[in-house]
Amino acid sequence: MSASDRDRGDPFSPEADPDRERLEELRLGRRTLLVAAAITPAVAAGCTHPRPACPTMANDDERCVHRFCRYHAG
Amino acid sequence: MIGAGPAGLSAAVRLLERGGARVRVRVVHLQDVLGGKAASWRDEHGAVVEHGWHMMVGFYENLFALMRRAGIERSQALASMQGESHCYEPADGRIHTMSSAGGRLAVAERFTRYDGLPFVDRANFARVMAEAFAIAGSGEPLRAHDDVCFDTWCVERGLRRHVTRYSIFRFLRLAYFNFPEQISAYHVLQTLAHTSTSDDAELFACRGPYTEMVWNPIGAYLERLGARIEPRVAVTDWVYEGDRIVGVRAGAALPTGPLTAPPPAGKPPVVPGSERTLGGFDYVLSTLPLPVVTTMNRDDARMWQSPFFRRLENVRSAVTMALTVVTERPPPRRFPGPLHGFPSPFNFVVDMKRYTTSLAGAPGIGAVLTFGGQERGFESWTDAEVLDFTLESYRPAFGRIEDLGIVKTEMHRNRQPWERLFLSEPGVEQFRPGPRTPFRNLFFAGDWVRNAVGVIAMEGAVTSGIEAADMLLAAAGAA
Repeated sequence: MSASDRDRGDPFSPEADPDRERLEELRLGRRTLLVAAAITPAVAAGCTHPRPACPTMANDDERCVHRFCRYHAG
Repeated sequence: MIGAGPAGLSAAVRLLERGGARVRVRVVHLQDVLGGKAASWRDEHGAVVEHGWHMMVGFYENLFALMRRAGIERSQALASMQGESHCYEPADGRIHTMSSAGGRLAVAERFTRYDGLPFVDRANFARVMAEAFAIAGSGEPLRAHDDVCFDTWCVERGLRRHVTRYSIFRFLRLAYFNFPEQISAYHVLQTLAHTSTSDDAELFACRGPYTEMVWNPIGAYLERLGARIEPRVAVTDWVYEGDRIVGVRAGAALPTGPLTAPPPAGKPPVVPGSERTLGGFDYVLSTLPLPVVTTMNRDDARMWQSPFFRRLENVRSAVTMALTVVTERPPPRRFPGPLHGFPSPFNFVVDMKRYTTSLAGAPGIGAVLTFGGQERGFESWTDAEVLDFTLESYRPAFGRIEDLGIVKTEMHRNRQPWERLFLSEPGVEQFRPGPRTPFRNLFFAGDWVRNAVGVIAMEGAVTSGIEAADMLLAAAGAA
């Protein structure tokens, strides 16, 4: 990055991301859920059962193909 | 302004209407015709080809307002489909009529009587749909429901799993043209939220080619406001200094669209040697489709590894397909409104003869069957194979379409980056950007950009254009 770039601002820094605050709120929301999950008795007992399968799938061994769905097991 | 589809035209009009004499707008766009992914063409015989079948819905307030200001008489341009849709259920081999009359409560009540479902499942289905209508109408933010598909959302609320296999669930995803792909529950709930009254839920077909009926008059209005519109400009890359766009690399576009042979995938094809840098602007408002944006500046590793641009690569787009079959004689049964629930790739059809002004009394034309759907899963099928399969699939509705005397068929697949439609799959809302970008003078708009309407529709694109124009004007201090 040249000196003039620095003067004008770096568009590729995390600070330049216009959706940064919104995404931070999303992340905080998820962290709260993870903390809640972490203190459940099953987790405390060291349960390693895989993530539940999507309830819409016809067979229990089917997995949701949507990458960002809550049930995606990828 | 880059692009002259619903988002670009809407944004350009907004800039000039709100910005007044302090704003000058130059519009560059790829094609010969206005309308982007809602455009229509004329083939070498003068016959109309649409990018795909589009409908307008009663809640398209921003688009209707734009049409009104451009001098388009709504009743002249649009024909009501009488609030009816028809759903084919393979389980009983019958076609069931759905009505949107009466608004959200009436429709919710009508689900209790949907006779496409076995009696024992109706109460279960109606209870879950009543909850969906209640949540959609509650006024609460619906984006939290984006993390699962609508089928799963319903199963989580007590719907028996097998009910999602009925075509009524295809109906609930009808608005998104990329079905049968699963659609985020947010997008279905958002649609229910927009359609709270009969008027909001009314479906309209265009009485003629979209570009001629809608986009050209809006383009003429835009020019009266002072904009300059330049067709056949293919934008290929950004030129930036620091956090400002200082130029836009572009070339003279070779003809594109479904009438031409597909160019190599990636950037739009340009006349060799015609590339140049467009400059002399203060701001750029881009309505380029996302699959085009992600082809730009690919050699710039810092750009594509930065948080904003890296996120864009998580959003996918769908290849839609369009098929028109013109028959000499009318089918034995006519259906007002769309008919859906049929196997992929063409899940729905509308007979446009009854809605198209110029075809109303045309001799020798019995029906203009306009099919729509998406290509996924059928990439390796030839057009002839798809056509045979589709004609066979639609027998329960029209009998043997071949026996009606096929005058003409036209099929195309919108595979190119600038032709594809944003795919509202579960969980992608977190990756949709708003109008602002890391570049201070670059704004995004389009169906894939987050906006107040939310759903994938011309109204979403038009609204996105308005929101981006307002942000640009605010940034420029010209609002």
